[in-house]
Amino acid sequence: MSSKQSNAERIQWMTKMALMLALAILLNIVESMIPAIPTLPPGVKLGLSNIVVMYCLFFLGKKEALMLAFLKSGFVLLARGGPIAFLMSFSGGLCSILIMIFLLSLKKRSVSYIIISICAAVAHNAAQLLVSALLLQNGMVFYYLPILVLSGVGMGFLTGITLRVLMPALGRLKRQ
Amino acid sequence: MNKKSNCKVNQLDKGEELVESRFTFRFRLRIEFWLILGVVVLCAGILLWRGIKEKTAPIGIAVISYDGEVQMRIDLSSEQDKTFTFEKNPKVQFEIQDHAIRFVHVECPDKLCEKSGFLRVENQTAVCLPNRTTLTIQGSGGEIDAFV
Repeated sequence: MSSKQSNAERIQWMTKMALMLALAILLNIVESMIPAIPTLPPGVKLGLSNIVVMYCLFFLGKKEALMLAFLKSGFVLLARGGPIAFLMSFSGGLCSILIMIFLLSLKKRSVSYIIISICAAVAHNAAQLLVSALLLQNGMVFYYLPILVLSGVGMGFLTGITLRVLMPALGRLKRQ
Repeated sequence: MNKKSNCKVNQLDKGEELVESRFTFRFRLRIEFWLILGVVVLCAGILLWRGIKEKTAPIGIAVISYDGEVQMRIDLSSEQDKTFTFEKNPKVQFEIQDHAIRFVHVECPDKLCEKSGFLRVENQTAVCLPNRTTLTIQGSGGEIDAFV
């Protein structure tokens, strides 16, 4: 934050970030309440909180999105299963944000939001798989790669569509 | 000169239009779409091929690893039904039933390893990340390395 910003602006920024974080955590909790769909492999999740991260990246900025991912992982560290869960959550979040930043920065083409969402979800899964392979010192986890890529495409599509549907309502927040 | 500047204006317009187009529902069949479709088809193909192969594959050898080190090797085809654990991490238990093996009674938050279910043929894998334990199946015809 630069010192040029007025107090009101700073407070507004902080409030927005707090709201985003609260939303992300809430969606995370809601998601864990949804019972697993029997035909899907274990561990496949919707990634609803990625909607918030995506919104944050598109409308508030890169720094804010990265911060949100870090804070969200911090919540995971406190609430669910310690440092390994944190590492998994943060690696996935970081990787998906980096790929989104890359796709948004492409000058020559405007990649559709749904495609960005799909790529982010796949990157999230791939990063987690890589980290788990490193943690376990065992490459066999890549057995899960095809199913995780498929689920990443599916879930990324769903979250992308959801963001698109929510966009008119969320846009109002930005304009204030 | 004039032509050049015109061109630039056009490019700018096009750029703005492209940015706008991120929000439209119009699903243009562009290269991204084909790339993703290709990846999806590839993955689905691998899964399908794997599913077909697993139906006919022989029963393999279960390999339990902890922290990247092999702890146990169990030939599933000759093993009796039982529930057991291994020395280094008693938080994890395994159950052998009908020449298939699975995680049971694991102390971890998500129990993803238990949800992976029974494994019996080559390359099937279940992982318990919080307990740093992996369970994979190797082919029965394969060479057996040193017991670590």
